[in-house]
Amino acid sequence: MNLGALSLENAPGFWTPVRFFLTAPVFGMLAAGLIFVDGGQLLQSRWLPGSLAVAHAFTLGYIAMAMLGALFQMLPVLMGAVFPQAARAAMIVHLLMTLGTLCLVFAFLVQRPLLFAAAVVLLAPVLILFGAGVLVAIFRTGKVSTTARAVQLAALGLIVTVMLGGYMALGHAFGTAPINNVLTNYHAAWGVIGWILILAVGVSEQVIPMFLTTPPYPGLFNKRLAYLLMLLLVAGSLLPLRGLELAAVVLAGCLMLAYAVVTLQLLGKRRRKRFDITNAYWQVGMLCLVPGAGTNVYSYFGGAMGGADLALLSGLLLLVGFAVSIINGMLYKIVPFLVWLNLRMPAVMGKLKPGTRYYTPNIHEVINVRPMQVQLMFHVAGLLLLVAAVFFQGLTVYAAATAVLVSNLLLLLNLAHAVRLYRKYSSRAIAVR
Amino acid sequence: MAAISEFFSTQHRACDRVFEKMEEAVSRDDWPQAESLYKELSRDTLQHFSNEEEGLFPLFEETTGMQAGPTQVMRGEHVELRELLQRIGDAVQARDRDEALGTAETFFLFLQQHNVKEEQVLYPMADQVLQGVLPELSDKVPGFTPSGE
Repeated sequence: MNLGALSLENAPGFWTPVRFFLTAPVFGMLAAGLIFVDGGQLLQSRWLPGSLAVAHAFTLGYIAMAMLGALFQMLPVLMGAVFPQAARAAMIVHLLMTLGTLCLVFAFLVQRPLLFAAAVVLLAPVLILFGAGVLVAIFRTGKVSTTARAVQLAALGLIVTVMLGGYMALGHAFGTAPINNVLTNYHAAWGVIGWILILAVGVSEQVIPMFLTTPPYPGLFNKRLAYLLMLLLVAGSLLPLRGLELAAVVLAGCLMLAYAVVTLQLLGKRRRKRFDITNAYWQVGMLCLVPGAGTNVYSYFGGAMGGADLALLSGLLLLVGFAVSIINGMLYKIVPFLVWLNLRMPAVMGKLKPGTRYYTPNIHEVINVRPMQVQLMFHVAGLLLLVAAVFFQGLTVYAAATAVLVSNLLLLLNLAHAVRLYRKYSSRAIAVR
Repeated sequence: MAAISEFFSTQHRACDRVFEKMEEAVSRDDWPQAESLYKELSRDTLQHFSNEEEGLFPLFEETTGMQAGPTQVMRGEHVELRELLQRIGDAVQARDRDEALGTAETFFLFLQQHNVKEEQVLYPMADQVLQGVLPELSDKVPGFTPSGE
């Protein structure tokens, strides 16, 4: 147990996580822009260069970006692991992630070997090192919570995902390997299940009961879920048996379903009945996880639905529907709190002269509820339109892209509002209220 | 669960329930109810803080020799929580719904991260190191019994 980690003084500075959080919606806007420019074509197949570009704008630029930012914040505070040189490391990781993701997205679009090589150089070492760092840091703390264990497994998931992706990108760069469907599927499975889903399972165990005032998850549910998902991934990837892979796909689908249903039930039992934006986003995410898991299994068995690419639909539901939704919701919980906490730090740390008081905006003032609700509406509209566009293409695609663009722009503006308040109040001399 | 974790964590949960009811009353604009629940919340929370600051923490500091350790951090956070509690009280008094709910949310989030640290780190440690001096603790903390019952 690391007592030093108890202290908020060891929490990383304001900008350490926030730079990641502000970047995520920018990549969301980039993804929307790409969908718009590429029009109808894009949503017809997951194998089109444009689809791969959009997918990576979301997975690396939005999802991993936000998740890394959150991990920089979470590790020291909640897990008793101090991140050495967190501020400097975050700056470098953020820079490499941003540049690397841009390279990869444009590498897919213009198919230039040099861009693929640059993407690998910029992304692979930093992500693998980050994953390894998290793995080791949590090992060192000894006995750990379910959340910490899940984060550790997710770090392993991240490493495998990046290695598979990096290997394929090098194939593009040097023309040695053509697109390999089998490897791509493993890469996607490790990314979605091993990295994103397992992290969500771990984080939700702690965050949902605590911040959304629900009953706790049943007993060892999340712990078993995280281990089982990892076990299925490893077994399905390493043992070359068709039957086993089949079973792994079905079982993983069932586990996702169980996770979604249990979480929705918990959210339905919130003790605080007031509207909570984070709660709404978790509900949207879980409601997408159900059909996302379903279509994945269905398409694996060759199921069809009106000529649509069901694997692409499943990816859309799992990435934009599930992952982006819960991250968006968490950002609305984390960022206002960080603004407030960092503004109150002198008081909390006992650095004020006794009796000194100064005004700090409350959390609802940092980001108002109304603009968050408007953004949620655009997010949900974007999701529904994206799903519709997989089937209908045509004008629906443009409507979908516009809604996603507006949703991410509004998210960026809402977060920027919070950051402006932080700047305003932190630079202002302490005023007695 | 060991005696200290059990007793102090239960107080956290009890305060949470009163808080939730008070917030609910404020959202309904039921101000008389909100005021009475606020009084209950304030009394219970401050009692819990003093149980820690005058009972648990000094004993922990004495036994472990850690004066500037985790208890110091927790005391600092209590100061801020008292301030927020006061601000909620002022807002309820003034029947300022937005300020009351916004400050309540702020109080709640800060309180939850505070409670997690106590429940996951401090109380389990206290349960280990204070095993021999539990009767002393029950002298200082009303309602606490060494057997955990």
